[in-house]
Amino acid sequence: MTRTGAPEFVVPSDWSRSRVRRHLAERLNIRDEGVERGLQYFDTFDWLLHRAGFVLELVPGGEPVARLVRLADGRVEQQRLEGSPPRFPRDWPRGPVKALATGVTEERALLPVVKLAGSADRLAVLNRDGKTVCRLSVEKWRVESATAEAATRVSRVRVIPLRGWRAEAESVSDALADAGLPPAGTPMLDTALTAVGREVRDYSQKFRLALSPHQDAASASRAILARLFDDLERNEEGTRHDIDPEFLHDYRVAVRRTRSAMSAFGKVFDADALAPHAGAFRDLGRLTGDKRNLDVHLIDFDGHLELLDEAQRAAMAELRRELEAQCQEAGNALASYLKSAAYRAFKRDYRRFLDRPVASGPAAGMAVHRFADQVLWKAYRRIVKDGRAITRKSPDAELHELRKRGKKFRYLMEFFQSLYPPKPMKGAIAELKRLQDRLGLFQDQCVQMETLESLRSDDTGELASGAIDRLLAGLARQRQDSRAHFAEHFARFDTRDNRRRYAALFKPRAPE
Amino acid sequence: MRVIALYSIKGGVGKTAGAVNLAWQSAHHGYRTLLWDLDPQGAASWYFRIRPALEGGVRTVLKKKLVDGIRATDYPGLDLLPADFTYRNLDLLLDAQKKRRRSLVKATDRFAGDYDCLVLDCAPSISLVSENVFRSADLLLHPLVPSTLSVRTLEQLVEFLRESKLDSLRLLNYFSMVDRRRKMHRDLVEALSLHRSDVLQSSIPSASVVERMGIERRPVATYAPRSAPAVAFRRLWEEVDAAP
Repeated sequence: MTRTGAPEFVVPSDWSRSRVRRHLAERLNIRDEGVERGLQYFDTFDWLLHRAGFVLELVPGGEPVARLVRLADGRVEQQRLEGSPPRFPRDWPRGPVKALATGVTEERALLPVVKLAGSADRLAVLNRDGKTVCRLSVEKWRVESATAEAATRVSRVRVIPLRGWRAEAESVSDALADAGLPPAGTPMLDTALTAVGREVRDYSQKFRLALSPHQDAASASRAILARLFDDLERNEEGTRHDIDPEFLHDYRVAVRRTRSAMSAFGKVFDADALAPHAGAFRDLGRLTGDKRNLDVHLIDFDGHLELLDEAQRAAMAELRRELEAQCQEAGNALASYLKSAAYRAFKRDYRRFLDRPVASGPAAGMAVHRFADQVLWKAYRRIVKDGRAITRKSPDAELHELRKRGKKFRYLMEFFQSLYPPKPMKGAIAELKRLQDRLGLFQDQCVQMETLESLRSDDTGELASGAIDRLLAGLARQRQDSRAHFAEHFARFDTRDNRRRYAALFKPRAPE
Repeated sequence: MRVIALYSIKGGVGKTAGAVNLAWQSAHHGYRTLLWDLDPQGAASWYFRIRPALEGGVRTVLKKKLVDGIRATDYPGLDLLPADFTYRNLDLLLDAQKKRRRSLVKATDRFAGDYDCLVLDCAPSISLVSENVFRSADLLLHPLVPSTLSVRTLEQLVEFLRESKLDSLRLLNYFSMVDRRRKMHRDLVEALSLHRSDVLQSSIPSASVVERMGIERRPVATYAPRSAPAVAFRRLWEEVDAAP
């Protein structure tokens, strides 16, 4: 539950609007600022605005009003819109939403979260000079839910403080309490979400699952796979409609995590029962790969353009259009796959497996904390062994392989995170992440070079070709640099302190 | 954040009316705007019904807590940092600083995270304060009434900017309190616009609707949106906004 600093007050159900008005007018110098009909909350799928301390409200109408409410103090920044709100804050007209939200939401689209029907009387509270020192919103909302039979009705008075007039807002709150209005326990957004069976921040890219150390490996493994499948399904619709590139990204993360989990849980499940699903997830990774590569390429492309001169940039514009078309095509192919009978069959079979997993492997009955120690220790030791074997002469592929192993190790740590003391675990993940970031950079540089090279065809003009050469030369330098520094970065991971850190956490102890 | 200073050596030229109305225009066009009333008379604050008082007085100007003095106006996107009568001692305060000509730059930088546009309403006269303002501003917006004396003060200003090596500061002039019925006004506006490239096309007419600001205590466009001065301020803003 979140609390805004600006108190909201509940209007008792037997109070009429005029009674509220009379009580306010007796205590405060108020002026009407009009009536607003309806309200809609927006955020990204993963609640980036809310996590950054904002709630985005939209008052619909011919010229909608958008308001960014600060959770910390309830202050509001407002702007008018012409027509419906653009999907990405960067495409909004100049104003507070664009200024404050663009850096927060990045590639994520703004989506409607919950809609309220009803109206709000907007009032200004004036001081003796006739200056507005606070605003009030007297609201009567109705939240329709698909599941509940009756709509939820909520009446509230909201105090909207203004910058530099805090004491005044506090005395307005006191006046409302004095009028007999009880403070609301939860902000309107939370209340509305409860009515539709949801809650704020109900999706995150982070994997979180509480396991009990004494449950057996079979039930824990099943819970992890089920949770991952849930993540995958939650990102399916956004992927199919290509609402923003992060849906597919998260969908693919769920696929990769599932594959990592399956390969680590080999001794829990019956190998023959697991094999077809492992195969299906491998195929899914491949089927979604093209679209994701093109998404990333398009996002990177604009970064590349900044490095070019005007003429080269113009020449590259044509290539960008081609890339967009390819991306669109890959998106369509993916969407039709996600609608296909084959995909439905895959999901049906896998769900059936999750409902009744054949957990007959030798590790199935192990206590999960012992099982986790085993798989994590093995994954850690493998990274150390492989990393130490890489020399200046090793092929690039070995670095890529190490990165994949690192990723798997990270996923496994996240799956079992709840079984370990939080602080050391956080440190263990952070140390690995530092190495992974370096390896990831090297990988990105390699992929970007490949994709840039693939843009060139027989039809590519001289100017565009020159631009590609220029970008490739820059990337080649960066890649060489990353490669040259690998030993240094790996040494920073493979320190005595870190070896002790991972051993203390994961090294299996002899059974008591 | 773009810093626009409304400045004139001479008083009574419609400078504060310009600052108030242009700041409102800026906010209305989607810029998160702060108007800093630097004139100890506090007229801009008064127009927004905000008492000209800053906790801690003039000494706060160079401190972090300056931002705590910011107050919302009645209009979305427009905040005001009110004047204080002790601003009359701002010169003395600045003179005592190590970087006496640049001390205000640090103060204005404090607003950069929260605002896209900072409008400074400066007290008339040439002083250490104005020199500081010139070094903080990207654009010096200079209202001129159509009189021979005004033309002389413009020359003084240009000379001063040159001597202080402030050539990079962009100076833009606009005519204020213009009475089109008077031939002398028409001639002066035309002549100066012809001879100087830094005179904006839009001018603000002399009109009772502008004077009414003192009674209404709000920007012209909020009580007489279709009046000639409201339209003139909008056009003036559009020119200022488009200026590099």
